[in-house]
Amino acid sequence: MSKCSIKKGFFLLQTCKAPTTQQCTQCQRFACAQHMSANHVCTMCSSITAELETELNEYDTAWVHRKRRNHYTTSGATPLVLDESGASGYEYFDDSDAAHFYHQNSDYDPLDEDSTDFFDS
Amino acid sequence: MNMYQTIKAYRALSKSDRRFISSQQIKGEYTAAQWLNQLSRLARYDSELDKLRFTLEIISWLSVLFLFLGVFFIVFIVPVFPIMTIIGLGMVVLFVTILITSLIFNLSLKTKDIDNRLREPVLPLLTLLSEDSKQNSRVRVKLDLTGSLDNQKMLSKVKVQKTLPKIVESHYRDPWFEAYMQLCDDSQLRFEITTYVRKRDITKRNQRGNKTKHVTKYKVRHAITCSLRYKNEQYQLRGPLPDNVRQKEGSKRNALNSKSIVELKISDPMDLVNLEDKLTSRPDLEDILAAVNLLFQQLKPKAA
Repeated sequence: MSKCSIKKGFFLLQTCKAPTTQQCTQCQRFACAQHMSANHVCTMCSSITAELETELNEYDTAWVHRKRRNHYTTSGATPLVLDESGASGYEYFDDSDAAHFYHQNSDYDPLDEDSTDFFDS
Repeated sequence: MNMYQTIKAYRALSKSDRRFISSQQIKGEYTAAQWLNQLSRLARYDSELDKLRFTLEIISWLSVLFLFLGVFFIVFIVPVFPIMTIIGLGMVVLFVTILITSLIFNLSLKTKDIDNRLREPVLPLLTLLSEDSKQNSRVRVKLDLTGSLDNQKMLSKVKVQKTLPKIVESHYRDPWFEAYMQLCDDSQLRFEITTYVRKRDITKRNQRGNKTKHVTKYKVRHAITCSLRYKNEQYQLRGPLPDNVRQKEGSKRNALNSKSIVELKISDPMDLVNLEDKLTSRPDLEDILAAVNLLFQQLKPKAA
C-alpha cells in the first residue's frame, strides 16, 4: 500500500503519509481519503481548479491549500517543513509541489535558478 | 426558503451551542476537530440567520414603500373615485401589518444572532491552525463576543477637560479571542486578540454660543499577542529579532513573544461616522496569520 504524499499544515508543513491506494488523476500522486476530492482529484489540484472556477466550499482541505499558497506567495515568507523524524528542515517542496503552487503561472520553471521565488534556496 | 434553512440550522444546534448563542461566550479544551465541528455548526446557523434577517429588512423597506403608495392612493385617488376606498384602506392595513410583523420578527431574531467575528476570522483561523496542531491534543479556546463596550471591560473613565469643550474619556479593553495549542513539532502556540476602544464624550458649544452639542468619538485598535515556545534542541534564531519580537530563554524551551497592532482600516469615509462599523471591526485573517507567522519566520532548524 502506498502513502499519501500531500503536504499538510500551514506554518509547519509535513507529508500526510496516511496509507492509501488512490491516485490523483491529474498529478498522479497518491492521496488519502482526506486529501482526495470528488472525481479522483487530490485536494491540491482541486484547490487550483476551484480557485479558477470560484466554486470552492469554504474551509475544506482544498481551501486550506489555497489559503496556504496565497499566504506564502504574497507574504514572501517560508514555511518550516517537518521531515519523517518530526524534525524540521529546509526542503520545502519537491518539484511536483512547486508546480501546484505555480500552476497559473505558465512561465514558471521550478528548476529556473534565476527565479526570485521563495522556493529558491 | 431562508426561514426553512434557518430553522433547520437551529435544530441542528446542541444545548451548548444554544447556550453560546444566549451568552456569546465559550471557553473550553477540546480537540481541534471537535472545535471545528461545533463552530462550523454555529457559523452555518449564523449565516442562515443573517440571510433571513436581510430578507426581513428588505420586506420592511418594501412595506414602507407600499404603505406610502397606499396613503397616496387614499389622499389623491379615493376623493376622485370613492369606490376605491376599500382598496386604499386594504393596502394600508395590509402593509402596516407586514411592516410591524417583519420588524418584531427581525428584532426577536437579533437576540438569537451571533457576532460575525465567529465566521471571520475565528473559524477560518482555527481551521488553518488545526492543520498544525498535534494529533488528538486539546486546543484551549476562550471566545467572548459580547462586545467591547461592556462595563466590565472598562479600564478607566476620566474627565480630561472640565471646562467647555468638556471631554470625558473612557478606555475599554476587550480580550475577545484567546487560544492555546500544542503543535505537531511539540512547540506550543498561544495567541490573544484584544480590542482596545477609546471613547470620547465631548460636550461643546456652537460658534454662536447659544447651543450645546454632544458628540461621541471612538478610536478602535486591535492587538494580536502571540507566543511560541519551541524546543531549544530543535530550533535556533535565524538572525536578530525585529523590534516587536522578544525572546525569553528557558532551560529546555525558549519563548518568542510578539505584539502586533492593527489599526481600524477605513475604506469608506462614511465609516468615520458609523459607530457600528467601528465597533464591529475586526482584524483580517491575513493580519492575524502575519502576526503568528512573524514568530515562525524567526526560527530555523538546528543542524543535526
